Amino acid sequence: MTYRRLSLIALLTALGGAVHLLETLIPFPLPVPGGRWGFSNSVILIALPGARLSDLLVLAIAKSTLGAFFGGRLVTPMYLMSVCGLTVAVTAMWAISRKNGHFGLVGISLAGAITNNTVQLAIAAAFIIRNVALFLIYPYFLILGSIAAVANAAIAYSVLKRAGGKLWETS
Amino acid sequence: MKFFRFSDLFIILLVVLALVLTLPTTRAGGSVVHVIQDGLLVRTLDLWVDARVEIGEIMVIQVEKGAVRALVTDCPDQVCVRMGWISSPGIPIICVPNRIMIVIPREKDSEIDVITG
Repeated sequence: MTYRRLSLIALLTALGGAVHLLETLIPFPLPVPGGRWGFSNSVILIALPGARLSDLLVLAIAKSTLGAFFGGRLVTPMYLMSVCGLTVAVTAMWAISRKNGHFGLVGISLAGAITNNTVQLAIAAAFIIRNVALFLIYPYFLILGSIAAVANAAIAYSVLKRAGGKLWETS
Repeated sequence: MKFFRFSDLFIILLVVLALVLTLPTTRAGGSVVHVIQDGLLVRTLDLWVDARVEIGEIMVIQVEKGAVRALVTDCPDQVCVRMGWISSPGIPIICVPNRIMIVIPREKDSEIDVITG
């Protein structure tokens, strides 16, 4: 592991963890325990161009764990749901962004958001609430998730523009 | 990486399609409310019979004039209590720590809920 990779993961993890913690202060219109907007996922979009899947997963899980630890949610079902959803979403985002040029940040971000929402709700419906009627709130999750996803894409775009595209390349 | 590409439209289309398929077609609910705990239907209450019902010493729910709310719960975050009254399907009252869901089933899937619950 090069120093550049290590410091980049550390930097983005710290940033993501801080945003993860701060965004719990933003009111979330759905009355779901642990419901969040997901703005901290913008760091994954920032890291995405040219990243290895393993690095992205380390970043995503470390970010969630850090945010959950300081938010006091580390030993709750919500943390487990968030890590599972994020793992699948990050893999999906990495997969569709590999073939350079097919999708833009908006599309990748939206794909990640839908995957994340679907996996989290499926886990809740299968293991926690254990009832399919939970999917009544799915459309509302989709709307809020899409808004956050587009906002994340805009944030990541402006960061990447200033950083000059790929962050992982050694100079 | 570009901000937006033509292919993104397919993903947007996918989101819209998922929305259209899952948005409730009717807001009319039946006249009952289901209390589901641990995936099991533990209580079915008539929405028009005012009542206060204790669910296993962890939650008290109140039914009044066609609406229902969680009145008291023992969990720390109190999300379900702060949610207030619900009187239609749409968003159910969810308590993750106690694994309880209070839902007004839509008229047509009242029976389905009983089976899956």
